[in-house]
Amino acid sequence: MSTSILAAGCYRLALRAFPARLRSRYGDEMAATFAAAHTQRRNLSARAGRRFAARAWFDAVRAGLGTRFNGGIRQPGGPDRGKVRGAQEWLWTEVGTDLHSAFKVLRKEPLFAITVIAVLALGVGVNGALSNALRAVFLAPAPFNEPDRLVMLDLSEQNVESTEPPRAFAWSYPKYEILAETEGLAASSVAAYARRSITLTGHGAARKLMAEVVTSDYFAVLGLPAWDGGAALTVDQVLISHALARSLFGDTDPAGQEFAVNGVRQIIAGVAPPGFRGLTGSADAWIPMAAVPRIISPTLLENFDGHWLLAIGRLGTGGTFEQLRAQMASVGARVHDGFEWTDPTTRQVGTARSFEEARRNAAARQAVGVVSAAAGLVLLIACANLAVMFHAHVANRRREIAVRLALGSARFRIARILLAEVLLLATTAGAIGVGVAWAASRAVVRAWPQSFMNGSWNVRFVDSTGLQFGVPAAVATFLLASVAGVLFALWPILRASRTDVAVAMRAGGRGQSHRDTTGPWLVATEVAIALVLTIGAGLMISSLSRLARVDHGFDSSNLLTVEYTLQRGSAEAEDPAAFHDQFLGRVRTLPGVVSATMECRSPLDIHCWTTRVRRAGDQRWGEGQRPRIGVHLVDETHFAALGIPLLSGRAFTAEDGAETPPVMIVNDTAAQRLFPSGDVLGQPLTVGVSLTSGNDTAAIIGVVGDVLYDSPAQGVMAEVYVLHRQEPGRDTTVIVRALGEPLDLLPLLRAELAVLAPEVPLTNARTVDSIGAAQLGDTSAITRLLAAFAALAVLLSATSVWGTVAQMVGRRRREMGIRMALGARAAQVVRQSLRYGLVWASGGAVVGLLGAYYLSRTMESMLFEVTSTDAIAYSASAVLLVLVSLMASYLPARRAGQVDPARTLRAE
Amino acid sequence: MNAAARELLPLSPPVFHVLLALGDSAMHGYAMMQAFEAKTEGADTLLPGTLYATIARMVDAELIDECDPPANASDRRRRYYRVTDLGRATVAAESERLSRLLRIARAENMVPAGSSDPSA
Repeated sequence: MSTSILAAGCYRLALRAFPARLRSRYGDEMAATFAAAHTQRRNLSARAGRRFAARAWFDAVRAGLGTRFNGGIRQPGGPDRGKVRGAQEWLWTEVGTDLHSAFKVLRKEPLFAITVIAVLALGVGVNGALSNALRAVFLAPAPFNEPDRLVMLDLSEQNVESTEPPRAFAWSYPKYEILAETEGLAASSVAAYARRSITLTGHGAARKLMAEVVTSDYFAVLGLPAWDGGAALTVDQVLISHALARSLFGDTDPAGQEFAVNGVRQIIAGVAPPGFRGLTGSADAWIPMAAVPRIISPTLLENFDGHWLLAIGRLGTGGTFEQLRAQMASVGARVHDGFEWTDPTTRQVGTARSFEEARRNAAARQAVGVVSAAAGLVLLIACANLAVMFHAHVANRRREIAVRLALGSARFRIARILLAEVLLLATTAGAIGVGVAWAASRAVVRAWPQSFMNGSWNVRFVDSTGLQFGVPAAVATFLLASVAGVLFALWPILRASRTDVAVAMRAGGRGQSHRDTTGPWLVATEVAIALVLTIGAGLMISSLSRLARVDHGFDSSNLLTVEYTLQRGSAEAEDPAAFHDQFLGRVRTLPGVVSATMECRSPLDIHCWTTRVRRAGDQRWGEGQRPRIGVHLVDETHFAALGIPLLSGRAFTAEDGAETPPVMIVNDTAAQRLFPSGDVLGQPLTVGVSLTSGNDTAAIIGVVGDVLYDSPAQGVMAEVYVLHRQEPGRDTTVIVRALGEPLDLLPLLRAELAVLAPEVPLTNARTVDSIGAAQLGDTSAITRLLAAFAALAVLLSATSVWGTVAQMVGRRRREMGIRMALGARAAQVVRQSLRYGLVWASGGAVVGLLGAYYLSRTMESMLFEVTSTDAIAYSASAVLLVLVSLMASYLPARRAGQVDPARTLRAE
Repeated sequence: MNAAARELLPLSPPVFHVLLALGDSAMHGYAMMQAFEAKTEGADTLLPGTLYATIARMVDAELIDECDPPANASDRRRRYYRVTDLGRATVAAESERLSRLLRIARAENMVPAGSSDPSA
């Protein structure tokens, strides 16, 4: 059995402590000697091998540093000490000696050393990972040139009767042109962009991907060299992302190649820089605005009421944000006056937001803030725990320290040795903490839902999968461990160095004096923090369980949803309704399919769109008062297929179609709100947009049960269902209920669609349950993290309670023995010890309850149907903490009851 | 020679150990480790880092020097060392110094009973 590669590698690393001159002369010899000696020990036993490797490693570091700074061959401390060695050399040798003695002490107490290292490594590891994520999402600058000069230029809607801040929405192209043509703007350039899903064909299988439609100044605004060509995109050109270029063309230059975007041939003009995914963070292609009529819609650029663009500008030299904001107000006024605006309760205004502000999603910021604060509290507990352990460690060595002092050791020297122990522990914990942080970073990326990292609407750069735990984060984590460790051990060290020799010698090995309450105070602090965390986690768990129990109004089991879009101008798109029906017909005959239906969006996702109700029966609403209603395009089997109950009237039938009178079905909420008299069936309903066969009015033929389309917090709103044959569209979502695993049906569905329309890709396959789980994503990710932190906090505080009570029992063993000799029963002594642990833990719990009361308010908006002062979460957490403390106190307290009075008195 | 040797006293333990390990033979580093362990019956160990740092200093101080591998060398690729005359004088001076101290300790009854007397 020869020496292991790891041991040899570590030894080579340790040899770096030697000066290069010596290393080049003796390095190989030393490594060979180590290998031979290590092999010999390993052949005796693996343990002996490990022991030798550790000793040799430390010896090499020490000897190497000693050689660098101490050249003599005489005894250290000999007559030439002051002459030969300079101050720096002396320092290094002393540090080496201190570290060596610290190593020897810690080797004798492996349990203490391992516990301290594990606690601190865990604490800093978690914090390192989270602060890294926090920095990437919120603190690191956006990957564009001078991002602080970028300004989001919003067209916003201002309620004329309220003082609420204006709500940003999007520009239509004609309205954007007013902004683009405004002269003398404080912005040197402005651009508009929008995210669109496109279908790419002409290179392998058809694929659906995200593109940004951009005006010509887009790249100039972002301060990027546009692409290799450098010129503006012409109407038949497209720019593609580096990732897409690699996947389609490998290493060959794609410039000049062609492919079809939504069935229209475009030439690839160039490739964006690697990693650049545009302002939406997800674009794989950039399409010039001029190509919109060809690729997306012939009339979209002329439609002043179609709001779909966002605008961004770059402040010019000398231009200020305030100037630009004032200029935007006047642009907004011109837009408002220049186009028809039907809603008298609102007006359009122009506003400006700093881009760095806009990219930060308020909800995500709050959640990350809460999670980071929780991680910070865990670190605090870890440090307090470390202080408790170190305090006990020092107290147990009180006699040894007193002996050293009595023999003439300087107090400074005692403090230095203890400090060396802490340094050794903290730096080891730091190194392991870096590993923990790296692993935790990967876990964060996996656990964190994508949506969580989003900035506000259409502004997103941070792809969580790209979060890297790099060198700066590793260095920061390492330093955090070292500083935190040393800081929290300072107090016990200072106390130890002030040990009163006479008192300590008299007290024998019994540790600190009776009056010493440092440990209990730290324990109480830990319990208080642990309780705050437990209550926070309890509130989130309670909230999550309520969210998970929300009734969505339909049966979501075994449902698969897939989407497709028929290409404009294709044969299928001439009669999309017939195509959808034909496809659904084929799907229903597939083996393993229970039912198949369609809608324009997946259930649980969102409404197809929302509009306003103008008239319901005899009731009409004036402008500004019209109730909002969600619209859904469905086929006649929809309600039966999803298990949505028909409450009255009839469902759509195969006879209803484009030629028959327009009909609608409403949900229960719409029926109750719009028709308070209860007379719904047969009544006309008029909505804000034309829905059925070009009509905005249709008769209500049925009422169905409520389905929750918005988030649970928003609740059910009024909804109207329209038959897809009366309002045909090219986009659709097919919803299939499977007998078994829904995703197993996907290949069959693809094959069926390929038979009918080979050029149309089937996209976005998801199970409805996964959509539901994704909706809980943020809450469940935060809950999981907080619960993990709380569990860690409870564990740490329990070990501290245990340690402190055990120490108290050890310290007062003599007193207890005497009491028992004088007639006290064992149960009384146990009770006394239990009371000691419980009093301090309860004190901590009271402070924790107060702390939670104030701190949990920051979580209010993250909670669903639970208040931040929920009595159950508070009382359950407090009871849990006190019980855990009781259990932790019981083990050492039981030992107190087993004290043998006779033996204790003999020992006196 | 003796004056030069006395200049170097007291020797640090690793230097003394290396001189004792080498004795009259030529050895490489690992052999020195083994010899030292054997001579102290495993009570003390010389670890490679300390050993070579010491060797380097002793070569500089001319207490030992590098030599050709002996005829019966187990591994001819290693560096071999032997004690110089100065080294021999130094180890003798150090041993004498220590014996003197030991005698004083004995006279003061500070040496535990049962310890063998090296001068005996």
